[in-house]
Amino acid sequence: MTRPRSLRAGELRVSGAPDRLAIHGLGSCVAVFVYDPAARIGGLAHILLPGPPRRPTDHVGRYATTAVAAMVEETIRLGAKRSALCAKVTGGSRMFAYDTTSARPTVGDENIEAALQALEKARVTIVATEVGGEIGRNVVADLTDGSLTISTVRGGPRVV
Amino acid sequence: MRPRARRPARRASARVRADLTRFRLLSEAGARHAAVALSQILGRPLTLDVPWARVLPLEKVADMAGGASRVVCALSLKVYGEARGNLLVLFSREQIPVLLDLLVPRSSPGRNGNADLHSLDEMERSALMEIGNILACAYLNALSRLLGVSLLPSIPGLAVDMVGAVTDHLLIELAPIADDAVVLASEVHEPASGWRGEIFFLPHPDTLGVLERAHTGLR
Repeated sequence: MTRPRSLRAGELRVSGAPDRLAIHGLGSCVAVFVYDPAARIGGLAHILLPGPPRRPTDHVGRYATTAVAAMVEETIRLGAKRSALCAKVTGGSRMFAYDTTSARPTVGDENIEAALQALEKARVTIVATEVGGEIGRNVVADLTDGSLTISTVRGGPRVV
Repeated sequence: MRPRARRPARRASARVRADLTRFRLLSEAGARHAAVALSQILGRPLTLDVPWARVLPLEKVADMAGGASRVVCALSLKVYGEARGNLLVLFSREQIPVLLDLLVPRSSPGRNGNADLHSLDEMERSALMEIGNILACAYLNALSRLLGVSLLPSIPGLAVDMVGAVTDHLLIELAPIADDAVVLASEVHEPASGWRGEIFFLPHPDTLGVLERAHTGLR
């Protein structure tokens, strides 16, 4: 099996089987994995903020709105079909308890919401979500079978 | 109408880079103060290791603390006042029992190096948070005195998790306004037990100017 290619915060990557894409230590950030099982092409994004960015020059991969759109476009360019694309979303934790002192939604919550909305807008079916909580996650997206493997300091791995 | 504040450049300016020596001295002064406070609580001498100050691209911030996958005990505080920012106290998960044994000794063995937040009891959690509080207050006090401004810490948040997960809120806060983070780092060390704690201060880009005033107070 190939070694997973690790994505840094704000990075997105599109590829095909047999590659694997990984994010280590996902906290309040959100990971969006889109995949076409027939074409075995997909992408993973390590998203920091809901977006949209304030300036068009801002990093595409940092914002849910722009990252999802760019990733879907790129998978289609590489041969995926929009109607076949499915998505899995994880992350969006609240890592520190002081975040709970405010009644406002946390940035993790906002990231989850923005990612789901962006996927809906791109007409991509959401097949799995494992979001929120107070824990960090390691995720590995496998472009051979479309699995997303999630592990935490408390246990795992869990495949969604 | 209030005049609109000019946004700082997204990349740290040459001036900030030139100020890193000053920032390192601030980092050292803060950590020295923190080490003194903690050594008084533990009743043991603490030493200070290699303080540094750097400008890091946002996506490399997790590398400052051993990479995104390293599992640590993290105490995270917001800094308010005339210079805002974030303060983070980290140490390896294996060292949680070492620190707890120094703080709240107990006769029976049982603490292990694989603790997560849920395996710590209430007293252990508050002991760790208290340490975060003391280190942060002492650190910020030293900076306050050198800079002549007030710096106030929030209550600490506690997590036992991967460095990536406990630092990504820093990137989230900075990403809309900057592509780099200015990081002031230092380490305190208790030689007898081997306990080692890392302190990171990430000043908010809008208030970096306040830290630059350290010119007058430092050599």
